[in-house]
Amino acid sequence: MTSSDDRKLRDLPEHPKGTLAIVAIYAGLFAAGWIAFYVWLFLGRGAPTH
Amino acid sequence: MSAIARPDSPYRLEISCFAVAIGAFGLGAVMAVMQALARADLDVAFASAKVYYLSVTAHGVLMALVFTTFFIMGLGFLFARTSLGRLAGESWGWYGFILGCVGTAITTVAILSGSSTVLYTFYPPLMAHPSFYIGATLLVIGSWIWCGVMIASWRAWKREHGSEPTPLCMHGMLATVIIWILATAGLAAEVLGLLIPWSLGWVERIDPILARTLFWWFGHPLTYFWLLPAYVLWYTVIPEITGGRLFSDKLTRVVFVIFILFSTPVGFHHQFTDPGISSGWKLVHTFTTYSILFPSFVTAFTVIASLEIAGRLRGGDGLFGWLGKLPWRDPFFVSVALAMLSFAVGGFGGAINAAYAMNTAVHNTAWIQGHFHLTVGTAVTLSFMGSCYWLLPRLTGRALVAPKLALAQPYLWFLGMILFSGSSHITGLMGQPRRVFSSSFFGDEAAQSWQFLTSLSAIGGVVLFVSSLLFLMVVGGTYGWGKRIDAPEVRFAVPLDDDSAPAPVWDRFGLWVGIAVLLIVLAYAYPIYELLTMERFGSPGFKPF
Repeated sequence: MTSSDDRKLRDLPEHPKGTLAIVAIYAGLFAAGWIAFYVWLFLGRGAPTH
Repeated sequence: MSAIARPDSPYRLEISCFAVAIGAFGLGAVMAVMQALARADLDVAFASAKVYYLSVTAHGVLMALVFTTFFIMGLGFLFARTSLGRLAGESWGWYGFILGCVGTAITTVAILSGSSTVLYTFYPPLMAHPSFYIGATLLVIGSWIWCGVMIASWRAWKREHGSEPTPLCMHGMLATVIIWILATAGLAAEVLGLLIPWSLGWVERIDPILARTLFWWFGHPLTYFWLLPAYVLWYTVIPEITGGRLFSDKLTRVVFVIFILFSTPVGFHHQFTDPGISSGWKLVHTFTTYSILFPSFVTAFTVIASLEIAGRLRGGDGLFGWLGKLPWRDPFFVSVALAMLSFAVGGFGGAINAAYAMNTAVHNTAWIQGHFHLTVGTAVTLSFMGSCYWLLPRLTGRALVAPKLALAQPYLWFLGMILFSGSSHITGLMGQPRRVFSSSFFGDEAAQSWQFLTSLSAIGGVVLFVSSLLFLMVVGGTYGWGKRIDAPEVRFAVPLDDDSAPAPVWDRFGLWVGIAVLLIVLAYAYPIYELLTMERFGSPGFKPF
């Protein structure tokens, strides 16, 4: 690590905002996908009868 | 075998392990393309049910058990040697490697001879030739010796560095070793206690449900045995090669410990439709399986945050501007980035599989093969393949040949997997069963609706085979003809948080093993007791081919 790198490290945002945004988008898609699967696909098909 | 590795290399053991892994991968890839062509309903000479199921067995065993085990052994030896500065009992490492090779050879011959077409799960009452089970046992014993070398190396290091935290890559590899030992206890009980005596004719009948229960004691933590070394690469190498820092050392250790605790008591989510196991216990395993999603979410956060640091250090700004600054021309980085993307989708599919009720919508359909080709077939395999482009110059002192082919290879793999796995997920939801020879289902009307998608999955399989060939060409070409260079150093990522503190509680492996054993006993003792005490009929063996 050079002194320039150290300065860049100090200048980093306090929180990884981009990562939080990506993870939030993924979590939203994950939850929405799970619920959509449950409501429209699983409940929509009904219980196995044969 | 040591002839594979040049006698002047300090990494002969590692190179030998990687060579066997890559050889198994090559043979497994040939088996896969045979299946892909069969799925396309082409009129090819080898397209018979017998050859199809033989190739499914060989592909599963060679890829999921041999490629992964030898590759992980090689990574473990390398990480111990470089991060601890030693490999205690290296000669034992060689014994384990040779035993694994002998076992692999015996099992492979058993499969290719046509006497052991039992698929990679080797569920009874499908019966293999005894040499299939004995060979697999020798492979596992070889891997146990590897576990012993890893633990001995760490203990020797610990004696000299008592209060220091274990190097992070070794922390992850030790978690892998522990998961493997806990998992293979179930496998040993199945193979030694049930399958080998039955295949030798010492007992006439076998209890399929008990055998399946013991298999999935092993079978699900097996996925974490594959996954954790890939995570170790993501956590401890990728931040280094992208020019960044690991976001959090402590969070990473927490993740590895959670995997030790919750990897094993989850197996019943593979047996939701099996009789003989009560609904309550299946629900318990649903909850424990969902708990194991958490460390993977944390991994996604930590690794992406590490990449964000790298992207910003390289001049990226804004919410997502740092993404474009990442080294998209580095084949290892590209492999891992695409592996992570695949795992994000595969993780969602896993949450459907593990849901007690929703599992019925996908159970034993093509969705399942689509799922595990995204997880082990891409997240793990692409990470391992990509790591070869990083490993080769360091282990052999040779520059990568054809770097453009190396860069194209992960993109092709990803494209092939979108076609193969995407189609399989959809046809699975349409009702296509997995593991059925003939994509037209012998003219069945329902099969007409998924014929186009099945053909698309076959094209995906061929694209994957082309990607495999590129990988083998680059790796083989570099090893044989790469330009000699000064071997770069094997370096690991520096964490953003302070890692100089005394050994944290997360390094107390004895404590975590104790809790993990307790959780396994809680999850399995009573259900297995119930299986053993109910009226049992057993089954004779069947050899359909």
